[in-house]
Amino acid sequence: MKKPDKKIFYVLPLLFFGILVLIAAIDLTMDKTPNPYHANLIKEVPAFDIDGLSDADFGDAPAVVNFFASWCTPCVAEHPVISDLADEFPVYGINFMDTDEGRRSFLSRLSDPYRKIGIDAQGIAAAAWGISGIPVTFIVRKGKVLYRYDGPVTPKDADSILRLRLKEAAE
Amino acid sequence: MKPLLLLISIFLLSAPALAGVRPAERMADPVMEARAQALYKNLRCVVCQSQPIAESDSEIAAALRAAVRARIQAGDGDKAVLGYLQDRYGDQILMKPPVKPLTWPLWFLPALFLAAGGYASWRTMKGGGKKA
Repeated sequence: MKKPDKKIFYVLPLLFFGILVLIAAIDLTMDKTPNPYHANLIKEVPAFDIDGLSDADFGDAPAVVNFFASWCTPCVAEHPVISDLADEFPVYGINFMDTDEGRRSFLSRLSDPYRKIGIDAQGIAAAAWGISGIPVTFIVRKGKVLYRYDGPVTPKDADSILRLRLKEAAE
Repeated sequence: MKPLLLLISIFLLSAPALAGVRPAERMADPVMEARAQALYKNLRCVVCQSQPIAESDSEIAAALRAAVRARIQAGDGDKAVLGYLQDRYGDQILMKPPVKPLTWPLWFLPALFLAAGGYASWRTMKGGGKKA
């Protein structure tokens, strides 16, 4: 480092820092799903066959598939919303890693909105659908997965997202 | 000697607490079980921080382990089992991210930095030697 033409050594770290800031800025302002595991990667209804339900059970009409368990508090919270949806559209339940007793008491205490219920005791169906937690609610039609909603469905989202998409799918 | 033995025994007692895989999950076929164990170590628990499903006690990790066993039982090879979960959870499900254009910086940038740093220090040391 004898000559002053080595300015590059001073500029390079600054430049590098600038690039990092730029990457961070782009990443932070991008509109994307915060949890990468909440992105719906499956476009087709996955093949699954558990006690009480399989992929062959969904008819041609738009339907809702809802993962729930008695030990899941957000599932209790969304139950009235799911029940309301079940008045208008077929809703299928997948009972994720629950006990028979837990499921029965959950459904008798709150009501059973489901057209059919699959017992996913080991969680194989959950993995087939690519979920990372419950509750999760899917909209399906004719073997396609049209939408995925992670977390408890709020009454507002039930109207502005799920009902809207189900009606669209019915057309 | 006795205190040391006691200490070792105490540590061994705590060993089962580290295991996420439940005894009931063991597969009957030892070859399949060994494959399943190896695959558990390669798959990331989706609700934990940098923990493979082999070590996690969470429900979803148990679900992923069950799916691994079901795929093995169905006759899938190791690559197909990983691919099955990759299709559903993305590349981040793998403990080792795959080498592809998008992840090249991740894999090769450290080597590049090492080379650049090595070159810079070599230059500096050489320069310093001349001065002295």
